[in-house]
This record gives sequence, structure tokens and C-alpha cells, in this order.
Amino acid sequence: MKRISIYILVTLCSLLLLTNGLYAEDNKPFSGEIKATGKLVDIDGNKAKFNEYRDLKDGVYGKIRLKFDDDQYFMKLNAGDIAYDTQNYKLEGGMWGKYKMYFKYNEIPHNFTYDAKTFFSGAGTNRLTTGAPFAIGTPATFTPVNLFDYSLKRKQMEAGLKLEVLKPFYVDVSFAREGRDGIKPTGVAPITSPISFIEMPEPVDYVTNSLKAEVGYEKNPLFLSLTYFYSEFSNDNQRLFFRNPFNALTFGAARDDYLTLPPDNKYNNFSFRGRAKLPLDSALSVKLARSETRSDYNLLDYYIRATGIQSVTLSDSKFDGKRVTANYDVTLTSRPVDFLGARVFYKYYDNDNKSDRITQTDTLVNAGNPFTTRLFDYNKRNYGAEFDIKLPAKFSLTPAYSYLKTNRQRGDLPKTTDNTYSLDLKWAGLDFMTAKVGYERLNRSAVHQIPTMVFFATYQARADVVEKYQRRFDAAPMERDTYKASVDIYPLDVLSLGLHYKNKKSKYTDTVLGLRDDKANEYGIDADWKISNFITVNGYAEYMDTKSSQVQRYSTTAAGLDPNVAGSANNYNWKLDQKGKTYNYGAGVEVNAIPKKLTFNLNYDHIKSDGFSDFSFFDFTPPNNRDISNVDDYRKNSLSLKAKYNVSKNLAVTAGYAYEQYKYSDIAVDGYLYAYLTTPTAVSSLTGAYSAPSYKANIVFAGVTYKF
Amino acid sequence: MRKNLLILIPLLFVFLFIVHISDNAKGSTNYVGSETCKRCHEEAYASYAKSIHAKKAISDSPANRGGCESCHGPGAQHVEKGGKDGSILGFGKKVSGKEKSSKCLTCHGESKHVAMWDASKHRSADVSCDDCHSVHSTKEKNLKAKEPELCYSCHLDIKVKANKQSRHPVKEGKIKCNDCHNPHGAFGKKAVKADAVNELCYKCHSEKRGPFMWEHAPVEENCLNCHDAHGSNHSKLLTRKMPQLCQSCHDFTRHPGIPYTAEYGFEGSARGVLSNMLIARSCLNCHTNIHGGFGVGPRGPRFTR
Repeated sequence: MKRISIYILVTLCSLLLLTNGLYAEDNKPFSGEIKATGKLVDIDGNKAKFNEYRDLKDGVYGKIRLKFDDDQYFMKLNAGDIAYDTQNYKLEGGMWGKYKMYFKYNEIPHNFTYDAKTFFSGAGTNRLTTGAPFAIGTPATFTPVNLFDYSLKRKQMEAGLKLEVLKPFYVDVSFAREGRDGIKPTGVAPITSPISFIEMPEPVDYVTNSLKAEVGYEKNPLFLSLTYFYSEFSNDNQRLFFRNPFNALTFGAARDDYLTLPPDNKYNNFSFRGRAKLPLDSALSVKLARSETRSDYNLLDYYIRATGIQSVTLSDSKFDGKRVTANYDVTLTSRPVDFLGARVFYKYYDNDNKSDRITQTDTLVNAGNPFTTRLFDYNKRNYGAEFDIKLPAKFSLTPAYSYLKTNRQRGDLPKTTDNTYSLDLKWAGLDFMTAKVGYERLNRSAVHQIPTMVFFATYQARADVVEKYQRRFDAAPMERDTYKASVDIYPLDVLSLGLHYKNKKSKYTDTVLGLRDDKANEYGIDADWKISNFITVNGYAEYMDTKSSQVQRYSTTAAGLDPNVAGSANNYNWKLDQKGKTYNYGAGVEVNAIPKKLTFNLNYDHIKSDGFSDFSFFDFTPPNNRDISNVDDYRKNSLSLKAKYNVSKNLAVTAGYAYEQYKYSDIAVDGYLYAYLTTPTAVSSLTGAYSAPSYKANIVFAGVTYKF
Repeated sequence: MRKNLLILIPLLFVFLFIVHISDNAKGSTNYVGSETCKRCHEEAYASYAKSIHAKKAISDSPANRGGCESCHGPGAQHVEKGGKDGSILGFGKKVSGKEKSSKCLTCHGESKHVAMWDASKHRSADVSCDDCHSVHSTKEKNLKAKEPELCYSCHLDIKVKANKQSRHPVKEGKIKCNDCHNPHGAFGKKAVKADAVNELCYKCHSEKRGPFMWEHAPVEENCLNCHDAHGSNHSKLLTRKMPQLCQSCHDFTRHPGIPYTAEYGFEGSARGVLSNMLIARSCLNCHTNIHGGFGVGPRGPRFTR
């Protein structure tokens, strides 16, 4: 692909450059730009994190833009980062007002960790092997060491056609294909007790093909559209087989341990959208949609235990998954008089799970009694209204209300009801200033019940105790208040200043165990000022602080799970306040040292995060040094300086320097070990995924741009 | 109810089509022609002439509707008053968003791209077309700046999130705001381009689509229960740090209820041995298939295979 791309581009460039000379300067249909930038990159530290989504290294980066544009036809070609892992191309052409065709190709890398280590052979495949079982109890057995990179790459292609020639009817058709390959980290507990785990490379070899077709009619008062979307996902690896190093049975025996991987699936969505313009500056909009997702997966009827291979009886060796959604949206907007506008909406979304329910019998689960998988599905009914009321003295008021009812097939919180009220006030009484304040209140109520432990019936006694107090935050009853205020000041056309503040507080009213409070504050300022034709400056600063509080119960027995029972060494309540502060600021200056000739750009950005976990223990006092002071602490500094000199109307040269520093500290990776004892007898093994991400990088670049 | 809706709604559209009386704008005799505008506004005219709006091949373009005056309105009074402020629609900050947008919607109001503009949050916030687009521009979609900087000029809080250490490749230009949100309005909350958040996320993360034999209810209902799509200080765009994020729902005997304090880190040697729960990928060290899986026996419902 890379080589072919370069040949095609070079040919096109040559052709267009030659053709360009045939036209007079002022009325040329051809134009373009060719840019080459040489870069020298010096990275000290984690190269993968530095290049997380990019491919910056020593080399020459090419960019080409070609354009043909006359009164009837147009064609554009954009190519960037040619032959690098971030290369992208877009070719489009057509006839003005009649049709348009396009083709796109894009690559997106996602690098996690380079030179990760594993004792397995076969990283990147779906079969990981190792020579001999571990000698339990010593990390020194993790040999040999095989190196690999945790890295994914997406290769996206898309082609499409848009027809407007039949106006007011239109047709849009596009086809897309995305390949994703590479390795990402995964992990397994190879045996259930004693607890240990192995981090290992999971192969990614996905392809997603998509087709979208839309036909429509767009002529006032009507807009009508029918859309069909089909997407097919395929995974080359349905399972990751690995030799369980803790189980000698898998060495020389017929079966390896395995991890199930995402199934192939097919998704289709058919939708109708319509909008009718009505009298009194009103419009009625409707969307009706139905989607269906299907998957199938061949199940294996065994799993590996420390002491052997455990067989499971399955009601069906093949799982057929099917999920059907239906969506109905209706929105009526109206502005019958200039001082009053309204929006009334209704939305119903149903997610119906029609997958197979598989019954399993395992002598070690549920006392050997059969157990059947549960299907999760849900529906949401949402309606509400928003009004826009113009008041005297250039005030405007926006009251709104929304009602949302959710029904879900779930053991603990099957129903929730949200009532949301909001009020926004805006004042634009001065020509140079707009001020806004807003308030929103969410009241969520929920039906709660104690779930039945289907798979582990022996745990029912524990659930009966703890579930009385546990509320899961995604559906727990809550009250949330949000306050916001902002001011935009623009005294001059060349000067603008913005200030904003937001405060959000959530209180989970029925929660005894679980997340109980969540708070966040945001303060921000940004400014742009074109001081003169020579200098433009901009800057921003934002500070965010968050705090969430959760209360949990540690206990080794069912009775001890009751948070009202007095604490002891084996049964006690504990509280965690997770606090985080984020500071982000930046500034930029553009100096036109010689107007239209020489420009300097200087930009600086800084972001810092400081996290803290504050533990408290009730009725029991463990050692006091247990707080975590480094929770995703990091700081990143980015500086760039660029000079651009226009040698002539066609030729420009650029040069510059960039510096980037990222420093990370977190309790989860500080003092990282690749192998260690989990208990005196169990060994765990890591590969280095996400460890030591800090880096410093210096980049020097120089380039030349030729425009024609 | 649903069947009735399916019949009622198309009928309603037919009815509305019949009753609608279009009120076409009346003609005006106060036009002076683009050549007159060009005499004083040469630079603006030159940029217009290069833009898509000057294409006569497009039947309803300004070039076929009176040029400059198709957007700025009749220019006779403006000429008479020697170009005085307020004598013509100038698209400045003092003009309301609604007034400016209504000019654009005269031509673009029928387009599918703005079919939901009436219901959009941008419209109710008095954002006008020219806040983002320049009529005179020759850039992609006539945008005044590239995404995401254009969107960040109002949504500074999102910019800060996108600067955080765990994020999508928005800064690198590989994902655009417009890939997920429709700035011209959509039916869903936050103008997302799908019927539900998960259906949007699955467009790129199609491997998460399942359906799986073992499903994790909050995952199936809403990705945003655990992830912040705009960026996070915590890995994998998680809203809170693991294992505490998981523990705020899973409290039980054995390890879900243990307070994983500093002593559970690599360097926390108080217990003499290390635990798997806090270090590296935390809960995911073992519960790796948290988005769904096909494990049999006890491995399935615990998402460990």
C-alpha cells in the first residue's frame, strides 16, 4: 500500500505540475501544495506513550494537496504523513451541484508498550506455549523472556457516492472497511486458589465492513430520509489458547487453557427520518429506527482447574446471540411569537435481548444443579419540554423539564425514574458582553430488590445481608445539582475574554454501601487578543477538582457483611474519599515579524493531575499509613516554536523546535515487578503493559512548501 | 401503540404537506448588484468569488440569487449612506444569531444536514451559522477553523478533558467531534449521532457489540457508566480509578470488600507478599472479559475467561 501510494501520488503531482503551466496565473483551475518536513526526534523514556497515537521519528514527512476546480467540476487530493503509520489520503471529485465521489484511506496507530516481556512463545497468535510448568514458589522460573510490542493499528478505507442531480431527491452510498491488528494486554487467573494471575498478549485481528445507503427528499416543507446501515465484524481468533503454567496436565495432555475472545457479529439498522415545516415557525421531526445485532459462538465444554480438566454439560454447544432495538423519536419545535420558543420531545428506546439462554451443569457450581444464563435487556421512555422566553432588557430564560423512565431486566434495580428540571438565564444587555447562569436538578428514584444468586446459590445468604445496603451508582436513587455561570466579553472585534464556572454535586440518597457522593468544580478562563497586525496572543487556564466518597464493608462472613454490626479485625466498614485536581493552562503567540513574509508561532501547554485516596476505617484501626498519595499523578509540558518564511508567492520554508515532557506516577505501577509472589506459594507474572510511561522528547524540524 | 405510531406518523406528514402554505419572500427593487459591492469590498469579493457560493453550476447558489446581496440583503440603502454601520446585514457580533442563521437557512434550510437545526441546542443557545462557518471561505465545509479547535473555542472544558492522559486521538486529528456529535442538531442527548450511546461507541468498537453469553448489565446499558469519552486522568478513559470504580458496585465477602490501600502496591511490603487487586490493570488482571464473554462453569459469570 505504501509503495503504491507513493507511486500514484508522484505521478499525479507530476501531471498536475505540468498541466498547471498551461493556464494563466489568475484563472487557473489547478492549484496545489507540496510540503516536505524533515524531523529529528530524540526520545528519552517511553517511546510507545510518546507515540501513543502518532508516528514521530527521524525522517521526512510529506504532505500533498492538489485541487482542480472549475465552474463545472472539481477534484481534490489530500495526502499526509505519506508512508508513515499515520498516513492518510483522501481523493474526491465530482460535478458541482450534481454528484460527488470520494475515497479515503487512513491509518491510526495505538501504541501501549514497546518491548513487553513474556515467558510465552507465540505472542500475536492465538496459541501461547511454554516449555515446562512452573516450579511453584519462585519467580525465577519466568524464562525464557520473549519481547513483543503492545500496539494496535487501524487501517480504514472508505468510498462513497453522493448524488444531488435528482434534486430535491438525493442518494448517499458509502462502503467502509476497517482492519485492526496488533496485540493488546489481557490477563487470566490460571488457577482459582491460591490467587495468582498471568498477564499475556492477546492477538487482535479484526475486520469491520460497513455499508451505508441513504435516499431522501429535501424540499420545504418536507425532509424525508430512509437509511440502511450494515456492519459486519469478524475476528480471526475466537479464543486465545495458552498453556497453563500452573497445571502440569496441560503439558503433554490434549487440552490447553483458553480465554474467550469477541465473537463475529452482524449489525443492521434501518431508519426513517422526517421533518415537516409547519405554520407559526414550527417543525415536527420524527425518527423511527430498528436495529438487529447477531452473533454466534461455538462453546467449549471444559475449563482448566488446578487439579484437572473440568467438564461442563451445555444445553447447546453453539450460542446464537440476537439483540433487537427499536427507537421512536418525535420532536415538535415552535416559535409562534418572537419572544417565545418551545421544544417538546418524546423518545422511546427498547433494547430487546433475544439471545440463546444456555443451561450449564457443572459439578462444582451451584451444588451441581443446572444454571441458566440470564438475558439483560431494557427500555427507556423519555419525554420533556424546553422553552425559550425572551424577556425585557435583553434577558432570556430557558426553563426545561425531562422525564425518563428505565425498565431493565436486572436483579437489584429493575426500574428507575429520572425527573430533571433546569433553568438557564442569559443576559445580552451590553453590546460587548453576554452573561449566563444556569441550574439543573436531577431527582432519581428507583425500585430496589434483593437479587437472586442464580449461579452461586450458596452465596444467597451473603447477598441477603449486603444487598439491603448496596446500591449501584449507575441506577441508584440520587439527587444531583448542577450550577453553572459564564461571561463572554468582547469589547473589541480583536479581543475576547471568556470566564466560566461549573459545580456539580451528586448525592446517592439510599446508598449505605457503594458510591455515596460525587462532587466536581470547574473554573476556566480563555482569551484571544489580536494586539496589532503584528502580534496575536491567546491563552486559557482551567482548574478542575473532583471528590467522590464511597463506603464499603469488609467481612469474611455473611453475618459480618451487615454494616451495622460492630467492627472487628475481620468485619468493618471503611470509607474512601478519592480526590483529584487537574490544572491545565496554555498560551500562544503569533508574531508577524515581516508582514506576509516572516511569522513566528510560540505555543506552550501544561497539564497536571494530582490524585489522592484518603481511607478511613470505622470501628477498627489498621495502621495509619495506608492512604494513597499518588493516584494517576502526572504532568505534561509541551512547547513548540515555529518560524515560517515566505520566500516567494509559491515557496515557503519553515523551521522549528518542539519539546514534550510527560511524567507519571501511580501506585499501580510504581516499583513495577515482572514476576512476584502473590502468596508464599503462588507466582504472578506481568509483561510490562502500561508500566513506566514517562518520557522526554526533543523534536527539531525544518520544511519547505511549494504552492502552485 | 407502536403500530399505531407507524401508521399515524406518515399520515401526519401527508396532511402537513397538504396544509402547508409556503410564503415565498417577496422581491425587492433595492438591489445594486455584486459589481457595486466589489468596488469597496474588493478583498471580501475576491474571497467570495473563490468560494463554493460563487459556483453558478449549483442551481441555488448565491451566484444565481443575487451574489453578495443574497446574504447581506439589498444594498441600495447601504450605498446611499456611504457604507454606514447598520445599513446592511453585516454578520457582526451585534446581530442576533437567529437573524444571521435565518439568512443561511434561506438556502440551506432544506438540506438534510440541518434538518434537525430547529431542535438543536446550538440554535436555542443563539449560536449562528457564521460562528463556525465563513461564507467567504474556501476551506473544508467553509469552517472558520479546524476541528477540534473550532469546537474548543466554546467548549473549553472538553478541550481540557481531551488534554488528559487517557483520551481518544482527537488532538492528532484522527477523530473529530463531528464523528460523534452533530453540531446541527440530532434527536438524542448531546446531539450524538446514534439512537443510544452504545450504538455510537460500537461503530468504532465493534468487537464490544456482542451479543455475549455473559453480559455485564451496566456495560450493555451505557458505556458512559464507566467511561468518559472526552478524556480522563485514569487509564482507559475510566471515570474513576480501579479497583474502587468496580468496588463501588461489588461489595461482598473475599476480595470485593477489601480496602486496597497503599500497602497493596508493588512497594507495599507490609503483608510480605503482593496482591493482584491494585497493581497493573487492577481488577482486569483476572476479570479480563468485563465487556462480555463466553466462559463456561464459574469462569463465565465472573468474566475471567
